[in-house]
Amino acid sequence: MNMPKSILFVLLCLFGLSHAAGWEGLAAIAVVTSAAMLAILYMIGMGFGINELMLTSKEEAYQLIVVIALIGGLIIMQTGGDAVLGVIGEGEGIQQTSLGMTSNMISSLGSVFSNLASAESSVAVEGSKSLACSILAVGHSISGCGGYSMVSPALSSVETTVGVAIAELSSIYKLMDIGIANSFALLLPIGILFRTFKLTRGAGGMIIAVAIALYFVLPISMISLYKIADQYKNSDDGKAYTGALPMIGVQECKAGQTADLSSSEEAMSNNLAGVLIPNIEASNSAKAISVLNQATVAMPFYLFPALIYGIITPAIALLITVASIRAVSSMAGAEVDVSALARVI
Amino acid sequence: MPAAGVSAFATVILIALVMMFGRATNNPKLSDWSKTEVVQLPITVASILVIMLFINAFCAIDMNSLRSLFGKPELPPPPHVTGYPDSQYYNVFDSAESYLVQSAGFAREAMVVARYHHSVYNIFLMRNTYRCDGWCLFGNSGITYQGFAGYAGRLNMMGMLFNTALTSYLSALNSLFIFLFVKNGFFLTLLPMGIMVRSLPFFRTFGSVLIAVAMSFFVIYPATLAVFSMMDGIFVSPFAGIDACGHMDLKAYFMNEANIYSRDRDIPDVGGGDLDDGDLARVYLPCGVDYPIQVAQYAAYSFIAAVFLPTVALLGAVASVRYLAKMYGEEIDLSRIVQMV
Repeated sequence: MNMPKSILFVLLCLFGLSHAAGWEGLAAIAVVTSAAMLAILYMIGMGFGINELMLTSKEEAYQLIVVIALIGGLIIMQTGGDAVLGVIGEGEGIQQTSLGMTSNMISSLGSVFSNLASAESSVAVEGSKSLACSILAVGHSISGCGGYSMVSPALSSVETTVGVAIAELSSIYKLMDIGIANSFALLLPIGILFRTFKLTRGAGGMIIAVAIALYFVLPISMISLYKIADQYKNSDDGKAYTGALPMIGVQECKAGQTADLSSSEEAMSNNLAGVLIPNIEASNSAKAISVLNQATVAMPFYLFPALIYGIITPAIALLITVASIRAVSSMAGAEVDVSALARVI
Repeated sequence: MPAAGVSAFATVILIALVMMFGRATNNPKLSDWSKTEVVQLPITVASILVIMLFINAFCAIDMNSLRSLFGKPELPPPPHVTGYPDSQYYNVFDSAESYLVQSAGFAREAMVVARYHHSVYNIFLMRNTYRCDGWCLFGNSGITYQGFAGYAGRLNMMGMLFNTALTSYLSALNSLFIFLFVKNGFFLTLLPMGIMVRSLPFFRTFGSVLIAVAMSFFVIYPATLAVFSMMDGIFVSPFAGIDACGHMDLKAYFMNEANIYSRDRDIPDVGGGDLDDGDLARVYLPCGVDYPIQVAQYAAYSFIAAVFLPTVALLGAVASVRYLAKMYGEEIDLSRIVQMV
């Protein structure tokens, strides 16, 4: 049996236990595997009197102790995080809570998107109307609904922003989902094994850092930032822009009506205080202005969840995650320049 | 490997010649250089042995067996993987290549789905409906309107999502080409050159960097990608599990690009029948329903699969270059290389 197959055989024997183990068990198996390899190296060094091999084994043993300390820290972090979440009423654990919150937010933004799409559709259809009339090849075409067409692009921009927010939040959800499913079941044990060999220590440190970042840092960041956003939403400042989404009522446009009726008595009516106000039953311009006013009042309500929960929160969480990859990989012995990942944000 | 062996042998000859020349001419500088290089040579040879060990291991490891250790289902027989037409199992290199091919395919699916919706919205937006108000005997009088004018926002959004998916696709191809380049010659050139150059006066730094780059890109990059290939849940379509009027496989519905044109034949003649907006929507979309949220998710997922994770793998390789170069006793600045990622 040659060397690679021998190493693989040892791995197979130890990882055979992995089915029954949680991530803590897998990490323990990986540490034991690394320790076994170092012990073999040390014995070979001792047996053949190779001092360098013995020194290398000792040096690597210190590195293993660092990894064990790291795993201990992770277990404390997981237990502590779960306990804190239990106190604030989120008893599902850090990872499931963050996934649930993000999933709910994607659904919520989906509703915002649907409402916007419905409003935009009504406004745009009215804005597209025109009247055509012809007889014996002579005729005219007019549109009295141009005023509506200025509202539609505004709503369209907000709709695109909400779409971006959904995409960004979905990418974070996917990252958390695959991170939670694979970080400690796959990445951490492999990272620990990689870290055992000097040649692969850099990559091992990086894989450990990615595992920790995706399993702990990203979910904790998302939960914390959501809680901060909730506080903002429930504060006096936030209440002005949150609550039930305002509906945008769209009056039917009369395509053939182009006359400016704003000064006529038909177009204006007295309100209770005796002040003349536009009569939206009569004037297309007044109707369009009314839609624009409603849209500008409603826009902050549509934009608030998209910008705060869908764009800013994930961006900051991802920044924290990427920064943590650098910090943890540096601690694990690999200096990784994560500026390329930061550019992704 | 023969090239590396020849290179190492040539280095030994070179050191021996310099040593002899130094002794013959009583030049202590040359003798000292030879002694220093004799110490460095075993390190270089050890590097070659370690690389051979890794290459053998990477070719011998059956990734399906490794997957089963982690409780993951076996992969189907490998598709046609470049350079390995007769391969019956996935080794580490196959697995890495397979991940990149899959991520490019996934990003392409996201592009197609976004493009399908984009096309449909374009067709919708081009539709004008004319409603006669009753005086249409010798002329006509009525209202023209666009029943689907409200899809303009979604059209913009699809353009943006298509660009995101396109970026993901190109990024996956970039990673794939880097991998294939590394697999097919990059290593075979850099390693022997590094071994040789490392022994030349004043060139040790350069030689170390060449060896570190060769080892990192040939060992670390594929290994990291192979690890990612074992991760669950990356290539999952957001359409999975959605029942849209019996169209259980919405992905296949949107992926069939030929359909969008063949469906034109299903549109009734406007002059011969009253085709309302709902009918038109049902021609192109299952039950007339579009899926902009799922398309956004598709683009987002493809970004993670084809941009984020391959970038992490590349950064891991770059980090390893720095680490290995440090191991050889050299400090190198890789900030320029990182900027290329």
